[in-house]
Amino acid sequence: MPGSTPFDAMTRRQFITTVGAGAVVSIMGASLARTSARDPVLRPPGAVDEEAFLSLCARCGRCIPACPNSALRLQGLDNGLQNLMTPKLVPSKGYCIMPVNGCENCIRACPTKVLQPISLEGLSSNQLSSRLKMGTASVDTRICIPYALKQPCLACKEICPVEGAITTKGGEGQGPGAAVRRPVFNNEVCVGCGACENACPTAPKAVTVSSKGAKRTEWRA
Amino acid sequence: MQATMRRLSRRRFLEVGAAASFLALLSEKPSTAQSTPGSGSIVIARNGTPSELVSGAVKSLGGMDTFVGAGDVVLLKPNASFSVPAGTGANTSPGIASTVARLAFEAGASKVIMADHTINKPGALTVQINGLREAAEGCGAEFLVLQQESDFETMDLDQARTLRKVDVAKAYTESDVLINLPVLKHHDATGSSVGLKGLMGLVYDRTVFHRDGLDATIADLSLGIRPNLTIVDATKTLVTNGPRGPGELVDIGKVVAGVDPVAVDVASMALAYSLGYADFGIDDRNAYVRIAGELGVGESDPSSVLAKTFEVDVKEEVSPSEPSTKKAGMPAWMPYASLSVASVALGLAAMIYDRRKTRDAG
Repeated sequence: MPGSTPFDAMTRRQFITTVGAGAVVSIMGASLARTSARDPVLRPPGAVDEEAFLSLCARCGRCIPACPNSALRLQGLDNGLQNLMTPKLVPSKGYCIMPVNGCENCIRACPTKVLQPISLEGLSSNQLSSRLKMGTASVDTRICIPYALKQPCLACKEICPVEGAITTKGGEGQGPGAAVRRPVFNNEVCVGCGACENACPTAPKAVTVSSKGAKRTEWRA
Repeated sequence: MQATMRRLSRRRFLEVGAAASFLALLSEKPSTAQSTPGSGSIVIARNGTPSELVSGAVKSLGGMDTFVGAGDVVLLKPNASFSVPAGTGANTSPGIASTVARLAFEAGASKVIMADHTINKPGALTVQINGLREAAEGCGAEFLVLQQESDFETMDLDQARTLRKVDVAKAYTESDVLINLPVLKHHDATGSSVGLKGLMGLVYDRTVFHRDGLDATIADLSLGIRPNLTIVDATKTLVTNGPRGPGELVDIGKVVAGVDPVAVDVASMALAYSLGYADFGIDDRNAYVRIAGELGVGESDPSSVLAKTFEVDVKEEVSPSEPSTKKAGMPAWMPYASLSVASVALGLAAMIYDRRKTRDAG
């Protein structure tokens, strides 16, 4: 092209490269920042502490199809690059059956042992959280049917496999709405299996499970 | 003159009143005078092992032949929802489920399928833990875990007030006979759970039930899924912290059976209610029973149900089967009887008084 100089051409190339590199860096930076601001991802049972998990998880995805309840998914970019391809428990898709009920398929499928076997022998249902706690359920009483509409529901309590994790209040009185029991979530007892969120009939879910309070184990070979 | 008029009219009035009351008593009596249960009755079997209770109850309703014909495909719907062991009151007792399966085979069923859409997933593990798969397979039946969307098909409920469409198990539409085998137990949300509530186990998406109101939708569902027979496990009853428990267990030791799915629920709930467990009452709690009655599915009025309920002692060869109304309170004809007696007595007293007054005046 007449009038153009090598300097001009260089500038254009450099410009495109710089913009591209800048975009990548800013995306990485933003996603990393997002990760640190949030609770860690809700992990499958027996997950080792998050630092070890992130450095040792092979991102092989073998735990995903191992779950008979289809509760696990691979993490996308929405929780930062470092979480990309790591497994997460997605209660709205399925919930953890838990080793206490004879299922440790994901733990057995894990080649890097970032999911460690947990011995729950001798523990009663309401003591499980002392050794196995993936997270904690909580309820948004503005959406929860018995709280907000004063109508019976308790789909969460009906499905909860952990004795005492969900109890009820109300239900003693007479008159419209007075007989309706409302769910109470007991953080100490809850294991975070996700069954309640899975069963919750509202959209968006009134009951959600986060990794809050999760007990993580130490990595062992 | 006026005195005579008043005297006569009063006497007349009393005589007519007495006669009317007596007639009422007579006309009321036959409805409860039926001394043996028939196929339209509700039978409560007591005093036996779970297996004896089932056999006794079914026999009192005319035998399994009344409900199952040769070559029929029979669907049994136990409550197999929870991954807890047998004996905790959360699921139908395996022994009761297998007895019904055996009776169905004896009556000529070509195939007996037990099925449930379990609440605890995966269903295959749940029915292994609660023993219902073994109950089915131990007597040649099969257990069908309803879990995939493809196990269900859409049904329209034209008369429904809320639930106009519902996905029900193909196993139901493809079977000849449905025998509902619920367990009587407490339920935190509805009050109690028996047969009508248990039919939710043949539905794919239950979230809509919780969202649109359990009472209205359970009643609507009973329009579409009509069991030919309901046999209720009321042997060990979870009376608190249902439906999953653990909670207080009461040894009621009975099996309730009948064709009318609403009446069976009413009679079953009365067993626990009469022991003082208020959640088994029909008011704000268990309102689905009342709504199902309004929709014409069955009889929901407790006194009408109790009038056709019979308690059968399975150890007695020929069961005299007195109406269980006795237990629930005074018989339905008692008010009429006492009214009649009172009227007659009043009439007599008035007559004597009048005679004496007339004589004194004369």
